[in-house]
Amino acid sequence: MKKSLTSLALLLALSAAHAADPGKKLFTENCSACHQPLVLLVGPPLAEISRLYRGKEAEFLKWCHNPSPHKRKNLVQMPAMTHVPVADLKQIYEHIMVISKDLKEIEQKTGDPFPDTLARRPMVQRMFLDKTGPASIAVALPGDLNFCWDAGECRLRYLWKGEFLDAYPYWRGNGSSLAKVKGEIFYTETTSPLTTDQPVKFLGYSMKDAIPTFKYRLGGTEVHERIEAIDDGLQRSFVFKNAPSQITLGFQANDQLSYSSKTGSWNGTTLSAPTDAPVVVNIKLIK
Amino acid sequence: MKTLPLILTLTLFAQADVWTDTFSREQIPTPIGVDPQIGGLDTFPDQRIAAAFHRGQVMIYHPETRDWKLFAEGLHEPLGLLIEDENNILVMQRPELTRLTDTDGDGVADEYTTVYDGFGMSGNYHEFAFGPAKDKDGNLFISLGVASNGAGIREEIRGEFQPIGISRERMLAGSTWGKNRNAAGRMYSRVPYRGWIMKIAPDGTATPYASGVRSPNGIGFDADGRLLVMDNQGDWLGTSKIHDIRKGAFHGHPAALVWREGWTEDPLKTEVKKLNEMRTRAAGLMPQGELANSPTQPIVVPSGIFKGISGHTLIGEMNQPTLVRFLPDPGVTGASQGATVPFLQSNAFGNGRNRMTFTKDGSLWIGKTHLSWAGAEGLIRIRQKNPDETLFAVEGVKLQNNGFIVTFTEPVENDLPKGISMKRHTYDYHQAYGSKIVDEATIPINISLLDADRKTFLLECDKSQLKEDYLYRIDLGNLKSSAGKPVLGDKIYYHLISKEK
Repeated sequence: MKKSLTSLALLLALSAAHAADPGKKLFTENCSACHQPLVLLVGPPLAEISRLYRGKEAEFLKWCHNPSPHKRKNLVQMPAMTHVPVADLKQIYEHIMVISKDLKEIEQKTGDPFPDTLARRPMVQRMFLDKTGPASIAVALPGDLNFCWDAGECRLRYLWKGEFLDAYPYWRGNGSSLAKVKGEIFYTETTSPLTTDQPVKFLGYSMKDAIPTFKYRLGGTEVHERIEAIDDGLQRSFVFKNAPSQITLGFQANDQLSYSSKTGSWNGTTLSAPTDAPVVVNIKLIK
Repeated sequence: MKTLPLILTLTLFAQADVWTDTFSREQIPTPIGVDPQIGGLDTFPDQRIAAAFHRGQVMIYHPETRDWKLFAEGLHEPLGLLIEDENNILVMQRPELTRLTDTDGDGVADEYTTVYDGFGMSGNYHEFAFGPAKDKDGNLFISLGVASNGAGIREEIRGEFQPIGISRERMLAGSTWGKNRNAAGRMYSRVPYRGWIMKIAPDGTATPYASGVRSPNGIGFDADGRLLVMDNQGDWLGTSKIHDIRKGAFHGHPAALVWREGWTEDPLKTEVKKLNEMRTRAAGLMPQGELANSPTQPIVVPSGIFKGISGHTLIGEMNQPTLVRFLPDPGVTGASQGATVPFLQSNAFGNGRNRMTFTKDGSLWIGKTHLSWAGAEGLIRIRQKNPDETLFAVEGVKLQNNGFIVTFTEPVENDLPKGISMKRHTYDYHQAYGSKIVDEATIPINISLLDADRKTFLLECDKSQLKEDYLYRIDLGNLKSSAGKPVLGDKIYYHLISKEK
């Protein structure tokens, strides 16, 4: 009997508290999108806020009004909460202190929960990467060669050897961090072999044997470009539509690469080739 | 005596769970090894479902066999998906709108065709891209989010840099960003058409269609052909909005104005009064914290599903455990305005409701995401437990010169229901993030029945209490139908933009 009355009282008290808790309402409106009890989202979990600011309301208010210095460089900084009146921030503070009272900080998971996303080869992944444009495509070829192709400028940007990408820095959040190339970039191309003043337009790619053939337009010419792995290096092939009968491809001189082709004629690393058949260039990697 | 708390408990929970009394939830297992955050969802004519996942996969789910099959992969943050036919799926990813085509019929896309990539990318994380929505003439519409000063821009960008107000050097992410971020504006548009809605004609021609959106994570047509775009509370948005997008209109977030023909001044320096006069008001408002914090995709309830509200528009919400139903009031004022009402507002269906699709069997499929904000992940399937039953809910709200006419889908229990109350407030339109509740007041109302079958009521108030640019919050209390069913969605939020002529 006593027990039921107590639970009744508790239940009523809880429901009343829920209905008339302005701190909870303010917290939901202003904070809950980024701060969860235990898990690190955009912002620190309440358990951490409790550790940092319990008994330090003034410092909490200071943090709300001026979130600098930024505590975690890899996360987005909180906007200053100056639009929330101080009286409301104090209620939010009280609410956080109440609900975080018994929370124990947990170790934040750091590893990728889906580590095999990019484990296959060949593999294509569009991604934010360093040293290239924002619309870039990373490709892992069979073997251990990888390349980055820029769909904005429609050209190869760089090649690396080794594993493919660690894209978890990008994927764990909302995209504020770049993915990392898991290997050594041994070749960076500064201009397209088809350098021209004509405007360039990306058209997409087709997949064959899980490797993309990029399609783009250079002025009036449509180009299909494919990069594949061969025994001792790479093969770059170009198919031209609506092109002049002869085309010049200026490859970049590099002491780690040597170029050859079955068609056309070479002058140093510049190839002049007829466009009525695919232009296939073998690139030998010199170890 | 012991039964008393039990009865009270049941009563309390019964009130909280009108939604679970009416609807069931099934958790659909997502493919193993795939990050189950969903950015796009649509149904094939044969009732299979296509879902786009956070890490770039598009997978197809067969509801009968419960198998998932990979259709495409390697996409960059797909946040919208539209099935064209059995072999063609449009996907909006960060860098472009792409058509995925299975040309050889093996069930896997082999052509990734760029449909439209003529917009800029600064490399800033907040430049999300959403859509597409297709109109009856085959035009596609996409919405482009603005960048956040949570970070600067990258060294390399796509598209022309817009130097109005700040130089490219000062916009760069890195060690100097802390000094420059305030000058950039809370959200900014430094490359073409961030903050715009773009129209892409069937021949591929793209035109800037309307401007002034912030983070428009949801675009779609309602049953009457309105192009609805959701927008997220923040700077210049006191609370989250439903925009009725109109050609050429400026919808309120000034960052986008730098891409208007002939615009030359820094919008952060433009008088707020001028911006306020220029802007098209949101057709609907969703009060922050109370109804929605981060609204998502709109979807029309197909005919024959959810009786009573078929043809209505439902809107997803990432941050609160609810959906929103939008009730436009075509009225007589010419303004596009209307009411929002909670739907499926229950913890039982969880947060993170980002994308939705219906199947013909009456199921509503909801794909969830968080992208490191509050939200959730995975796919759930919602079904009405008794699909033959009409849902007891608000059917429509019409502004009068002396109050609101509220119509219900079924007869109400009493001629003059008790416990209905009304408040109103407004929001600041300003550069600062969000807004306080401004000028809140309780409005005395008088209720009268307007029809014999007890479905239509006038909530009458003093004419002087109806003010433009205010949100009217009608609380329906414990309203029940004549059959004793509690109302599904016990609040109405009417955004009054314009009064009767």
